[in-house]
Amino acid sequence: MQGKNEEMDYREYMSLLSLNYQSIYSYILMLVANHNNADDIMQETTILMYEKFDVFEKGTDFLSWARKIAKYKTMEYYRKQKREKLVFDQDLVELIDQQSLTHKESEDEWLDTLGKCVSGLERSDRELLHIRYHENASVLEISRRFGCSFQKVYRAMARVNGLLQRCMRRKLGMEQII
Amino acid sequence: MMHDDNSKKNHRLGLILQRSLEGNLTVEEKTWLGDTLRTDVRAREFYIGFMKVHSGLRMISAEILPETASKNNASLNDLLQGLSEYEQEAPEVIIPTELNPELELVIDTPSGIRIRKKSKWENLLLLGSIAAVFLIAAAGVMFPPAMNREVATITDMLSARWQNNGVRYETGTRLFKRERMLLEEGLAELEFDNGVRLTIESPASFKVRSDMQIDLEYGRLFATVPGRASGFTVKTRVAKVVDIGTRFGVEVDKAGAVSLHVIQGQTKLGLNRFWNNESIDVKGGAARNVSAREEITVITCDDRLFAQEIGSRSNTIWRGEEQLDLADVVCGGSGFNTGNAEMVIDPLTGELQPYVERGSITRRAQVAFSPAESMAYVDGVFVPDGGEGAIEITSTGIRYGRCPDTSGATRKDLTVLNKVYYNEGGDLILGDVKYGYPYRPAICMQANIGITFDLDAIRADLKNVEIEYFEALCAMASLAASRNDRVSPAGKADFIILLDGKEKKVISDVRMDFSEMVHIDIEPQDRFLTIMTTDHQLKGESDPIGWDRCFLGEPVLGLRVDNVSKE
Repeated sequence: MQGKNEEMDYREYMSLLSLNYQSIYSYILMLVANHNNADDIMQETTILMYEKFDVFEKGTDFLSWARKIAKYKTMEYYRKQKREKLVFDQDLVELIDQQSLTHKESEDEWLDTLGKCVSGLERSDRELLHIRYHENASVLEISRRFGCSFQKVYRAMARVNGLLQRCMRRKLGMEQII
Repeated sequence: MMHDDNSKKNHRLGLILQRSLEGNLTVEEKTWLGDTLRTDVRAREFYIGFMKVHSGLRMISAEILPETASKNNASLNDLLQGLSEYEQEAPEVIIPTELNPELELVIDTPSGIRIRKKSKWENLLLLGSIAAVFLIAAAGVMFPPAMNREVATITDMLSARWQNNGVRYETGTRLFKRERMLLEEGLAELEFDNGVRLTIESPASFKVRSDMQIDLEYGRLFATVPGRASGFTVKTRVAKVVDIGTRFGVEVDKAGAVSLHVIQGQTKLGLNRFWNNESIDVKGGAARNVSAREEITVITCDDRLFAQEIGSRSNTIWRGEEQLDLADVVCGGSGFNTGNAEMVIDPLTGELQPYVERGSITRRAQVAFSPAESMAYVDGVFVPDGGEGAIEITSTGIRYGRCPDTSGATRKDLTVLNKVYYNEGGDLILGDVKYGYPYRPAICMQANIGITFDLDAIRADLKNVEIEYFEALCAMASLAASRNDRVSPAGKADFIILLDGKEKKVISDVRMDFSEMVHIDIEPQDRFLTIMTTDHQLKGESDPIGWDRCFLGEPVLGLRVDNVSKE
């Protein structure tokens, strides 16, 4: 019986983690601006969440709970790592986190709008996104595939991100900052 | 002017952030980025927007399975080549001499979870146990329960073996969004809460993405989609099939090539690309192939390729056949050529058992009706004798009151074997045509014998199928030419066919060489089909059943696919 309960807890944890993994990861990434660091913190966060899952109140907001743990782990990571490995510091992380709270749109709303904005891009831009995000190709790989420099790919990526930001803000009625 | 400054700053921010994500910033750039974000609230706003777009794109792409690399991105190539005039304006980029090795130690799990292996990770016992959790996830299994995450149920399985890492998948197991499953053997039927039904054939790897989408990495899947779930989508690496209220099959090989066969209704078929919003209509009776290189070609629709319905109680796999063979049912099969011709039903017990040559031994039943408990589609058997009134003909107690008075004796089993009469006059033959296994399908029903089929049990397995009619050749076998010199047999018998105890066909006093093709319409409310042969005995007759070699030639139930609901 005990085994069955453990399996249920395990399944529930994995289910909730699976459903929210990308959202938690995105939150961490926003606090560190670097995939390697975000990967490290995400690993530590998932371990701590698993350890503490028995105190998570079933039926409440898992993502909100997970974000608190992720932030705690991010701050801890900043304390432990050498300065040169990091992009930000703890104060800046706090600033970014607080400012991000002013974004009230839901994740679903954001993703839905983003999908519409992607549909409105030029074909070449959508091809670039496809290779970068769908095929998960690195900038290096893209540059090699098309025989162009890193700079071009970075520029192209930054430009498309800017276009999407403008589109998103327009569609969501947010202030334009670009 | 202010706007220009912001624009330039954001332009530089965008470039630096792209490189920051990949860990390619210099110390100076990190300092500049940190200082800028710390002091400029608008820069932070841009940063937050940038990261949200970046993460959003990652999440959208996670909704699509990886596909093979496109060979021809002409538009993108033009774009990248065309950017050269701006190169001199671009900030200096530090080009790493090699890819960051850590970036290559990434496991992309089926659920989109990325795990990077680290040596320190491996050294910690506690972390090791969690890593195991993720390795299981990486192997393709996501475990669920929770609030409103369940979207489908396993409604049936046939010889199914899952790669499930300890999780028990069984009939009734609820499935969750993003649950990834690997069916190594057998078949499984899933029913979504919105009414979509899928039959999946192994080997198959798939993910239940949501109540409106399944990702099929490889394997064979048949979908029956009611109108209320119109828009249900099957995504593969190279293609996506969007349903418009229909029945269709999708097969994906391990190289990623897709074939779509639309049996009924209409689908939209498109390539699974970010930039491709185009699709083509594929209607009922049509089929398309999408190669791993994304070339779409017309192929012939194969309406027997997919397992459309399964039933574990009877090992039924229905691939769209228009008739169910009752002879196959009698020898333990599902009606679709799965029975064992060496098996027979004992009319005295209802047991399915190996064939034994009974010769001319006469037996009498101890009970009126014997349920055939081991046979899904056979309700039971009996030895008809109306001498003492109505007889019981179903497990639910339906009685038939017009059964003739018979000797109450029986001699043979219910069997499909041709050789059952071999020692008593040769093959089961009508004119020049041989019946019984291995020739034409037939059920040997030497009087007195009765069998009742449970049509609802068939309907329970073939959920989308209506039983339209029963057809068979009611016949009494000829005597083999080699035996003509020995005797002058005088077989005589009656055929009686009932639906729920009501007479639908009575053929009295048939004699040797008799045959008549019988067709009986079946309505949805009809449950029990009963067929019996009686000996038409004459008073004082010593062996009224000896030559009553009745049989049903090619007995079938006609099937018609019920139209998919348009609700």
